[in-house]
Amino acid sequence: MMDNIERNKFKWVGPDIESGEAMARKSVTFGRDAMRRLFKNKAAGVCLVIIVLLLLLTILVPFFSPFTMNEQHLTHTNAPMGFVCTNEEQAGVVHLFGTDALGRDIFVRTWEGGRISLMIAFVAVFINFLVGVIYGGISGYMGGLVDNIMMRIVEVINGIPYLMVVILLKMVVGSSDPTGIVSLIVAYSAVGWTGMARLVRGQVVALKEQEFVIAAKALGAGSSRIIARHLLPNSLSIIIVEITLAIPSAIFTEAFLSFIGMGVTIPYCSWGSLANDGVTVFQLYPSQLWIPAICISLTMLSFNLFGDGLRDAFDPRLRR
Amino acid sequence: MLKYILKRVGYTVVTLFALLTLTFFIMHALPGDAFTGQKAIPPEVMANLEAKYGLDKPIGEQFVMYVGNFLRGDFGVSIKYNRPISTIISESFVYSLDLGVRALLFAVIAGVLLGILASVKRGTGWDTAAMLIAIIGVSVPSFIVGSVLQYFLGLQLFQATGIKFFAVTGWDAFNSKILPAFALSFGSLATISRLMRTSMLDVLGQDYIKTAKAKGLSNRKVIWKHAVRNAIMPVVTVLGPIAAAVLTGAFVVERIFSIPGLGKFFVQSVRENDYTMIAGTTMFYGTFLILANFVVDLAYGFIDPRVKLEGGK
Repeated sequence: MMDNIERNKFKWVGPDIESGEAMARKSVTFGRDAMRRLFKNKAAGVCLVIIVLLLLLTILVPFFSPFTMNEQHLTHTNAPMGFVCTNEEQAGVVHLFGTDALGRDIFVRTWEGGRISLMIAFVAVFINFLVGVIYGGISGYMGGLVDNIMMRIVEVINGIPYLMVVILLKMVVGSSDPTGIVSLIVAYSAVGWTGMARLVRGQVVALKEQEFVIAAKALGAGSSRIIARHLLPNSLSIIIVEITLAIPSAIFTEAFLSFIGMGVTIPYCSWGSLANDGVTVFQLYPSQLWIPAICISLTMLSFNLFGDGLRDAFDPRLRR
Repeated sequence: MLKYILKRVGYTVVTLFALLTLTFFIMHALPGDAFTGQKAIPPEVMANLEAKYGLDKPIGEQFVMYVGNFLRGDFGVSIKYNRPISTIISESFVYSLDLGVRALLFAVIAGVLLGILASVKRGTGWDTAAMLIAIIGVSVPSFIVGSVLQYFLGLQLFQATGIKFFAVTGWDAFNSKILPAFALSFGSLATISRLMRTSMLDVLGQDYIKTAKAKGLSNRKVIWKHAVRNAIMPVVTVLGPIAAAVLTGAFVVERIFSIPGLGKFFVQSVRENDYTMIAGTTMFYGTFLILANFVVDLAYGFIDPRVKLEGGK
């Protein structure tokens, strides 16, 4: 066989050193790899879509709705879902989710309420994040006695059931807060930061003994540079996961407090207070409870699953 | 071991003190006082009232009095009911405790079993189902679970069949206790089953499990004697927070199912701005949970051989 092929059909091309050393593929950065794995996870992707949709609805619906939040249509109170409005000016416009006991359009109230619920959750979690990162960062970086004292304080705060503290604080701050929104945020952030502080502290303690930090120190980097350029970026992924998982817990706390009557005050509403209103009439008009209940559950579920997906995506042990 | 116990006692005392200080100063920071009402009170009467309740003394002395009252189990007087809060608590807390203990027991037993099932049958339909329950339980607040159960199992089922399987209100016959206890336990059940599954998977991958299997032990013995005993430790550590979740969750569950427990009183006092009642009840709940946490920590010390060994040195 081989003898039949003529030698002059082949040509010596010589080794190409350049192309032999070249990278076959572009190197994959940690962030890119995490994103790729996140989007491979179908549940997390769906949850992200749901979160974005819910956010868009809460932002846009109040602008485009033909009804306003506190507008009362007394001719059709407790109307069922999909009821066609019989008011003269708005005849023919559909109350998608029906109306409540005061004849207010539930569709617009649901998204106005969602706006407040989500805003409280985001702001509270953001404050927790700031306080937790600073507190945990200092405690972990300083170490020794300072760390010991700071963590004992956290332990004592953690020892008191947090809902009790939130309720007590809500009582004090709430008396000078007409909307109830600020006091909810203050009460929740006053105790909510301990989890983040513990997490960041643990991460900082583990990282600061690593070789690259020692190398940075040897090269003369100051504390602020080490914290900002080495410790925080390396803790970022677990901080993001913690933030994602803290949002459903903040939403729960808001809903819980509004449900027992400690939440936002009239005329404002939130998903918790809507559920609270719904419970009183729910044997007759169950949809008035179902709607806020589904919103709360769906949001919490999406954030929980998305957070789980993020955690898996960021986990270096799962990296391939 | 002794060192461990002393440390836990120390934490408990400090935490209790922090709670007391917090409630005391919050009550002081509130605008108005217990005697602010519709009627104007003459200054002489006001002075008498203040003297009676010790409000004319300096704040330090009031605090000492407050701590003293607390230690004697006196939580103050409800403005609304004009009765000692400790009496109200002793009358109503039995219901809450009954509900809470049932919910807690159910959550622990069912949660652990579900977690074991999910880990042993990993990757099968059982696993998926168990994890679905877990994620729903974590995401759906107890007041929604309660309402859903009440509507479908209490109301619709009764209307459809004509047989009263579950009573939807009150706390007397056994069939009135099932739904609230289940609603209250659902979230904790989910947390426990998730934790148990992770911990079981961890343990099942250990070498001593392989050894046990290699010795020829039956699957059942490996799981129950070797795996579960070790895997259950993390569940014990979260029992404190779980107890807190169950007791505070009872506020809403008691409201939905009209159970005359302390939670219902608490929610009512919130609605009626009965500040002393709120503070008194909060303090009671706080104390109860801090002590429960202490007991859990001690139990953990006895169960976990590592803690025992540490003290033996």
